[in-house]
Amino acid sequence: MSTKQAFRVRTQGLRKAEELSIAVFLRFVGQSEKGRWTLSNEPGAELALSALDTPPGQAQANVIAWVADAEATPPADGRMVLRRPLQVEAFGHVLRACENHLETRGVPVAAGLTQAAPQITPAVSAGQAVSPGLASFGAHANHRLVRWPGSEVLQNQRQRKILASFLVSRPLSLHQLVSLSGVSEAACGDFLRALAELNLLESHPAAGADAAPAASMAEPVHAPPRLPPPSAATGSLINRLRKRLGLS
Amino acid sequence: MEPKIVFTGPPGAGKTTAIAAISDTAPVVTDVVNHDAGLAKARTTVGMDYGSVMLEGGEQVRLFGTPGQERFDFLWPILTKDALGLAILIDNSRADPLADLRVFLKSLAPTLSQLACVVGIGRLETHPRPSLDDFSAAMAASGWVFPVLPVDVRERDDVLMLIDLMLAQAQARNMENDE
Repeated sequence: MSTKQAFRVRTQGLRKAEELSIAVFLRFVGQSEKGRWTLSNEPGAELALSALDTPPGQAQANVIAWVADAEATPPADGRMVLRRPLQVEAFGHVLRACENHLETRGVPVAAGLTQAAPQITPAVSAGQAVSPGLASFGAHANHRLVRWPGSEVLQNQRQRKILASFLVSRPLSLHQLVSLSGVSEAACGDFLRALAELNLLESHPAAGADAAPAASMAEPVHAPPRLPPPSAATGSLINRLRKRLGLS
Repeated sequence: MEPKIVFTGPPGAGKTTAIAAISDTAPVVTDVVNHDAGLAKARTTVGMDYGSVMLEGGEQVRLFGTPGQERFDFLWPILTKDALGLAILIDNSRADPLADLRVFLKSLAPTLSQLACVVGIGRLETHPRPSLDDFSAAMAASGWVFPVLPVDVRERDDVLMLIDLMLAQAQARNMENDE
């Protein structure tokens, strides 16, 4: 495949929120030097993401990857496994592995093949694909709240309210959110995912991310304010005030 | 310039009480006998309330409460300019709390995008409508996103939660862009 290809990925038996996540993930990791991925509901896609309880015969794709709960035991059939909750990095690994597999096998792209999918050796191990350390929803994006969440997300937890407040002021990457809050990457990733599933986030690729278009999951809000230059004095003041009021 | 936190909101929302909940000293108030028949309270603030929190090293964070009556709306942006944060307190027992909020959002619009801001809704236990979600939706509809919390301004912890979320926003604004 010396020229860019048009790859298609389809989903089978996934939850609606997961289908939404896949659509968003494609904005971030759906392009590579080998081609561009789009969602397709037609048989013969290059890749099918199939819920564990979906009969493999229904997947009708060149490559099938299972989508399984974190604790579920997928069949020992050599297929890749994408663990829930879905992670953009893991999904990107699956796409790249699929591209490599198709290239190696010389499978014609968009040929409408419907035979049972060949088994492939994952480019990443299942362990890598499900690593909690990659609980990194949108790790390559900056996220901003478009509406204050309800109790279903905040769960009356101070930590979640604080995380949401950080996302009010400005777009933040996952790592910035982790840095500001001191909360684990996994918990921050889970929180971002929960917001995204409720269309409460506006997300844009971070500078240097491998994606051209912005992914907006909700209506835009006021343009982000022009931020004042960072001030060590203000940061120190905030810390001292927090300490004085017993908030840290 | 010494840092300040500003409390605003319609009359009776509890600005003076909120300041008293966290101020190191009894707040200086500028209340007068209320002659406004539309306000169900004996006294109301016509200037501004003032309190402070003393930090290590002698620095003070000043706490200002604005007058709530709309005829003083010219003061609101003046008082909030360069503030560390703003708390808008809404009394949910008033006739149209959503309209109250809109008044403040509109009057403060030029400065709001530069401010860490939180919205505290009082008397929700006796007046559950509009809900917190209604307030969030109303703000989102006009393009604003701020934390919306239930608050009993007599409870220090409730007021501190408002401050907590305000400071989180200020902290995010202040962080290095490439951090």
